[in-house]
Amino acid sequence: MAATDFSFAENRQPRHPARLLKAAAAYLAALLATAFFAFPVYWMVASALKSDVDVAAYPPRWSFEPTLQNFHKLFNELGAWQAFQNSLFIVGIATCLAMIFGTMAAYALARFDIGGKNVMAFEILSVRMLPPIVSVIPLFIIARQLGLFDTPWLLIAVYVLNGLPFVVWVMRVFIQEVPQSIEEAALIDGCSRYECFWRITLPLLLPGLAATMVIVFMFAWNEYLLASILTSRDARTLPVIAASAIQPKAISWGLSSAAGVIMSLPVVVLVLLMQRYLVRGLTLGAVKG
Amino acid sequence: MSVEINRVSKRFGALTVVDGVSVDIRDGEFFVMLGSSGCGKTTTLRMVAGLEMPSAGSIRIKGRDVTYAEPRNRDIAMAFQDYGLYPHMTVEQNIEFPLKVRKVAEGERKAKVRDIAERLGIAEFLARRPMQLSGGQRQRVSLARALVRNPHVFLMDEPLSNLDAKLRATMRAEIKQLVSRLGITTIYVTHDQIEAMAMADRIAVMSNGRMVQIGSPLEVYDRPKTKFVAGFMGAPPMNLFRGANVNGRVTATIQPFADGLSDDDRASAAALGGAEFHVGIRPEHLVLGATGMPGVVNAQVAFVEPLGANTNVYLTVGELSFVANVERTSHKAGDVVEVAARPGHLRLVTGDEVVPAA
Amino acid sequence: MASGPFASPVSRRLFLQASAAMAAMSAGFNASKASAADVPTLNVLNSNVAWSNALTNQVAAAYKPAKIVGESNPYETHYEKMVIELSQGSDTFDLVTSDSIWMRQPIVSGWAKALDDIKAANPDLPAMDVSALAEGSLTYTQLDGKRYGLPVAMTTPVFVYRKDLFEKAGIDKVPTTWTEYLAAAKKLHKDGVAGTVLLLGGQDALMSGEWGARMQSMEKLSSTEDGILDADNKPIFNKDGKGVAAIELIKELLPYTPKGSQGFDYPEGSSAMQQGGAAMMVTWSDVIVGIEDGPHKGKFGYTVAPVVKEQQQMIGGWSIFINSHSRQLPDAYRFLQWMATGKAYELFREAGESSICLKADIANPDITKTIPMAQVFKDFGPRKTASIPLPLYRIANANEVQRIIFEELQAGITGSKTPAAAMKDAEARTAAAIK
Repeated sequence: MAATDFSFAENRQPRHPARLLKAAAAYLAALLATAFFAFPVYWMVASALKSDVDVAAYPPRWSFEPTLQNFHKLFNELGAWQAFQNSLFIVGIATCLAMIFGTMAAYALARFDIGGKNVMAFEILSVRMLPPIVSVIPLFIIARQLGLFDTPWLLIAVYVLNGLPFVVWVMRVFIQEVPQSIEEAALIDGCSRYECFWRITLPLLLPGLAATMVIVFMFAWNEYLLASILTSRDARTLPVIAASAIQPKAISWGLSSAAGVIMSLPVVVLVLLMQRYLVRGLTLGAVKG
Repeated sequence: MSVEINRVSKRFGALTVVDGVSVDIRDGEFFVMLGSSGCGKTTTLRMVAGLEMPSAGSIRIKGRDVTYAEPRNRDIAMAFQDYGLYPHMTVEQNIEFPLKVRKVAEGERKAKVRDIAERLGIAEFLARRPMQLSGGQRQRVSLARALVRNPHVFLMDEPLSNLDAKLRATMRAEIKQLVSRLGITTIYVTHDQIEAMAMADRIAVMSNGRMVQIGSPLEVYDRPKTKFVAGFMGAPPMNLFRGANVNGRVTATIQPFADGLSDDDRASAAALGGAEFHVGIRPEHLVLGATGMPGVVNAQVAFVEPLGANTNVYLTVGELSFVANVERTSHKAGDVVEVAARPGHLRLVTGDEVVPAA
Repeated sequence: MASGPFASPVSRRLFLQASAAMAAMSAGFNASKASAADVPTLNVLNSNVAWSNALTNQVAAAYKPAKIVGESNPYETHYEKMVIELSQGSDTFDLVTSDSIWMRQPIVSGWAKALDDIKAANPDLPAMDVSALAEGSLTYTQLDGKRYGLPVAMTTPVFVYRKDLFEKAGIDKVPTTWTEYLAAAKKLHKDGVAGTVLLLGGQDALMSGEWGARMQSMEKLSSTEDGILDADNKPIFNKDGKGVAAIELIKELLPYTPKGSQGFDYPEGSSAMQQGGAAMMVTWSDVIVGIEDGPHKGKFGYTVAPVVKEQQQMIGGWSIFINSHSRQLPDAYRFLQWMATGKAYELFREAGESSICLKADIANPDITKTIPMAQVFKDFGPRKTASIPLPLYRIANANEVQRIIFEELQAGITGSKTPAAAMKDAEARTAAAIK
């Protein structure tokens, strides 16, 4: 008994001031880093709620009377609500389609032995290599010829094409990480290739799908150039409205900030929704003892 | 015939992985394909499963040509080396999956799952996820899933190689008992010759895409046809002494061993002419201190490995080294000892290039 | 639970909700198209400044014979869209608004329909009468005696100054020459307030039509030439080294400007003035919107910008023209004809546009009460200022050349090139670029 007591006392480490200091320093560093990245977001939200006088004040005003006039203006005068709906519709559908087609293509590229596979994969990626501005005029011409100008279908098609290479290449990696033996077991158990994909591979890809979807959504949501040229009034998307809020010859920081806030909201909401999938631990421990 | 493999080949570009393999596997037989990695055993198995398509040849299961049929239409089941369990499902869901896909009614499904789970001793884990189980338990789930459908052919691809030695031994016995009781035709792939010996009804030793020798375990063990098989089976492997036909006489590097061959073997050796052949004898069939026995040779002890149940004694004669395996010995390194072959155990073993008679 | 992505109740619900929402929206799309077709709709390629908003709101409400609709575009996109739409012969827009300096291109390319041609094809249309509009503003929309459109806003560089700070520093004469301007800047540059603002940061030629400040230091050869190109469109901005001299003048002024003015564009400059960070600024009239909304309301004075030698003032602004490919040429013509009578311009002004071009408004003695900066137009007379259009307005690729000159100016002012080298490169590149 006595021996145990002694050893216990010896093994217990005294609270070193150095250790506390280290922990405090780490926290401080983390706090500073967070503040550094969070500050512009705070600034944008604060500016959105400031009146025109407050927003241009220098030195900057930290406490102010919040007002919603910028948002009012955005929705009533600039047609932001309609644009918001358009964006949601267009980008929502485009993201879904890009995910569906892209994942299936990625599956084929990852699992099947196709002649010219690598050429095909490269060709898909090459879409991404063109700067979008190069394709603006040809798309414009095509849109007019097909009567698609200023319709949501045109932008949906364009955004699907934009997102496809990313989805294909990223999902291909995720699919390759799913062990072949699991799929082979499914094939032997009685699944067709399609059933195997749907019942076995897809559930295992959920974190990858979630992450990819968020990124594809984000890029399409923020896309400005093609949206501004290829739409007029009917299919106007939010980034175009937001850009209009930045009046180059007036002091309109408040309006632009408000536009920034409503632009960011859906992406933030999406990430929060997908969080569950993004952080879920992969239970691939079923393979390999 | 349960499974007929007829001149099946598989080529990947210029590389031939399986080269004209033919074998007929009987109903209820436990057939083992044995070989080191790259010999084509797994590829052959996968072709039977339908996970690879043969470049040439045909495969029939239960008389039906399934060479190009999808895996699910072959009435087979498979156990994988890494278990291949579905990580996002519970054990119960894993096992019932083959039944669910075939749209078996829920009541019947649950009953069958419970039955096989009890048989394999995993009934208590049904609600758990594979991630929460140990290697051995996962392997059993994998077996349960394969057997719940009562398939006609059961394929196993090195299912025990990821387990530790002790577990391997127990699982080996369990698997053999289980499939024997169920009477399912089993094709088993392994690189471990002890597993092959313990479980097989017949063993096919494979090398370079060919089945070099097919026979019952003891047959392959006792009478290996080629150098490769001789060197593969048993630990320590068979001792081989290079032979040659000189002036109509069968000679070997240790002549007394050549003289000890059976008449049939000696005739076969003579018929080989200039082709490569060896005289082989298993370490356990060598006798030490064999004074007075015919065909004695004086050898020096290089070193001794006492393994408990038996002892390996490494001997040299001139440039030649070989091993004897005896129960106990008092000899030490440096001793000179008389060595003889137990009568009736010397074998003719051909070189690998020589195509053995069927 | 069961396997598969739609097994979980949440995601199934989400999927159904999303499908329902999409179906509803797609129905909504089709619904919005079905509008009353009794009056024609005229679609305008519009900007996003004060008059543009008034155009699609108050003016549209006042004009009954057609429905005026438009989409607002930020500056750069506006130009790109105009070029893409019109060069492809698209009929999306019936009316197109344009920065005045871009006007030459649509006219010579045939994108803008000559108003006289429309009238000739439809004799019962009323005659166009532009006498109500200021002369300087009409230059851009005519060529070879033909009229191609109307101005919507007329802008000019404005010299803004703090009357109270002038008093405090003992400056009783408002600077009219560069020498006086420099002296005043030195006197006023103290106590945290900069002498004057220089807007040197509007790099991109599309973003900042900063002729006002940059070129003001340039000595002109005569009151009627713009100092950049001669009548044959050859570069003369460095004739006798005056381009180099202009750069040197600005560099001399640089120490008396606010910190960071190398990167200042319109909003920063206006902010600085509004917050009292500087005592003087030369900028465009449509930019100083909002200066009076700060803590120094009422303390600003407005007049013509100081010049080096010749008394002249640039006129810029925005114009509106009819797309040749529009399917509603007569209706578009009717609208412009109605605009020219003046009501539209009054509505612009009431909506807050300070860049007015109605003669009646400019001559109105009370105009400075609502639009303080209109004092500039009043000072043209006493200062004997000649109005000249924007340099480069005669060439079709004004954008490109503008960018070249600004780049070289910036290099010379910031010191990355010597002024001589900068001007030499500018001449060479400009000569090569002018079509």
